Amino acid sequence: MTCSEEDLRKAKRDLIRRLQHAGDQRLDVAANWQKKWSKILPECVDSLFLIEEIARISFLTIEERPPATAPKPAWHNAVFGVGIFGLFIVGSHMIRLHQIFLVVALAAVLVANYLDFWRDAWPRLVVFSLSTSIAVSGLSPWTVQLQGHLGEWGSHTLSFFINPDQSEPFSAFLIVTGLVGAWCSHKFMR
Amino acid sequence: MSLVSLQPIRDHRPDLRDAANRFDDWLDLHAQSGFIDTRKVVRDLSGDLTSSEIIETLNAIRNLEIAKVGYRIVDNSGTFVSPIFPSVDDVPPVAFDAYGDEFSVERKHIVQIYELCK
Repeated sequence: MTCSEEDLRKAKRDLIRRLQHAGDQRLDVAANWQKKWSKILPECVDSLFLIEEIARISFLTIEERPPATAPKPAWHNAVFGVGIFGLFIVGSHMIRLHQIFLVVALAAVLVANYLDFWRDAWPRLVVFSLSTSIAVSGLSPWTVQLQGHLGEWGSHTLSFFINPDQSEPFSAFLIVTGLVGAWCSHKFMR
Repeated sequence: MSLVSLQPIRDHRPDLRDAANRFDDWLDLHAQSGFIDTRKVVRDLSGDLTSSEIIETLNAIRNLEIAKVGYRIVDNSGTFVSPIFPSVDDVPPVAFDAYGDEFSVERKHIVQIYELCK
């Protein structure tokens, strides 16, 4: 069995994460990492040893180019993008939260764009934005209570972003769903 | 001029063309040893290539059978004191340094090398 580049990337990301907190235990952390992953990926022992060697001597960089042998087809991105956009539109109309969806999505896109654009991770960006929007829109019932403490202008502005008819159980569902989605995008869509 | 050609890498992995050129320059200076010492290559090329490029190029060198992976033992002074072992599991737990004194082989004494195919 040959060692796949995707498996190696996964292992390397794990090592980079461990080294961030290793301090002066760097060599031990790298050695333990190599032992652990050699058991998981026995076909990659030589490559794992090499990565450990680099970690001992130099710095591992996080940049990773997509494998040249299997470029992601453009239609894949297009279909994915249209699908997410459709979901976004349908979802926002179903729960009548299109205003806050749009505003929060814009803010999330700006933040995520800053973090991910140069790593070509826009699908993660979209999912992260959508999830953040869902989570924040779940705050509506509690945000309504803030209106009383704001001035006329603040109250008016806030009313544009919230849905006063949203029930608390449904809001809790939105918050949990949004947070889980954001976490998943962070964890699995690198 | 190196005795080993990395042309197959340029042919099969055009994305590694620049890295292969850099490795070629390095091999011109170090090919007389008959193997690539990963410690040296990492120290010498880390400034020019990313870790991913070094890893992928060495993997390509192995996969295209330009060289085969082996392991050697170095003593505390960094001198090679063993023959080439085909896998890290074959490395013995003890070895003798350049002065004939026995020492326990730890991780820091094991060096991965790429033995150039003739």
